[in-house]
Amino acid sequence: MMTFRHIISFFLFVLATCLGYQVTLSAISKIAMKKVDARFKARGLPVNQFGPPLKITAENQTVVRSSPDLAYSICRIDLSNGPVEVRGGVWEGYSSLTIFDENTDAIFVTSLNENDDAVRGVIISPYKFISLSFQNSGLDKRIIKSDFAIALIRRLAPDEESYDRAKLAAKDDVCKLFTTQ
Amino acid sequence: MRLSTFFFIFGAILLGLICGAGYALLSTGSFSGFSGKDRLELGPWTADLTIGSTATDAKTRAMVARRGILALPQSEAIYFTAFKDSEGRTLKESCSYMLDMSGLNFVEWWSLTIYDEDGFLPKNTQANWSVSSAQLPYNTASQVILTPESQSLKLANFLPLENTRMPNLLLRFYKPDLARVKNLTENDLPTIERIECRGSE
Repeated sequence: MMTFRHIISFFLFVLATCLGYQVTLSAISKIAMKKVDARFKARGLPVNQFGPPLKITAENQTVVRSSPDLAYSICRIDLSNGPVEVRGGVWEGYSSLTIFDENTDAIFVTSLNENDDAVRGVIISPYKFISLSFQNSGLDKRIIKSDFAIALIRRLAPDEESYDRAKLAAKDDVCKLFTTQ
Repeated sequence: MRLSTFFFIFGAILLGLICGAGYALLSTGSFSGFSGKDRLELGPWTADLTIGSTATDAKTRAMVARRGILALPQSEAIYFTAFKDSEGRTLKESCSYMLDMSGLNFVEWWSLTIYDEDGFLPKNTQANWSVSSAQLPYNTASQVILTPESQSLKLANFLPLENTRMPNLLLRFYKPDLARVKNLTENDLPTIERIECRGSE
């Protein structure tokens, strides 16, 4: 026989199921980003600095569904000491600079193509440093909740010759603590 | 409240949390195409136009985080995935397939890449995982062949399925014309035609 105890328990069960579902979905993205960051760290990539562009093969892949046609440059962004400035060197073919937040969302994306009239950089800042002046930097700005983000530059480089040129273009990539100086 | 009632209610809450978490893990673990509200399903190909953006629903975000993290938003790229051929049969390593890419004249740049069941590039003799519009310029006979055989030569329009457990395909459109993409029909995307299979297929 259904008692008050059973009815309350049933409703709490349904409520807890929905809660557990939503909390887990949210946690999956954050954990996946932390895992990706840990893999980049294990590869020797420092924080607030772009590593050399990498062409993905079966031997060096660490992120699922990477493209073997692109040269990837990665910067692990640490905002614990203040805002970080990210810029990309121009590229003649398809290219993009993307900033991903801790939820895996692309909070900024721009083209690095020489023919595109785009701002090729951004200042990323956590809330606690929001009072700093970003004016006159000529860059876009994004405020995020956490101290962690990943910057990813993609340059279309399907062959060795274009990959060599991508390595040269990547020398103009910048990822560093932002200063007003 | 009696102690037994407390434990009964506590047990129901705990069980609910476990069931919710378990369902979230199960429903995002085996990626077999997109399922979000802005999903496009065109023949064997599926895409989700909200990937990478803050507009992505929680389930799609979690699924992509596990199976295709750091994806570009729709303004930069559209990703179509295929796990089956055009007749709805699961793609197999032991079969050969033909894809007709000649209809893709509406995109500036496309690439077709093979991945294994875990979403990684398979180890193959020729280190050959993708074909792009740069290698296969648009013409009326642009065909890509997926073959179970390892290749002795790296050919522009051949992709080996060698060492590719449960192969799946990712068709990328870079800098897509979004209005055009949203109005695509099944006929605009390549058909995946099974040619033959080895063994008892």
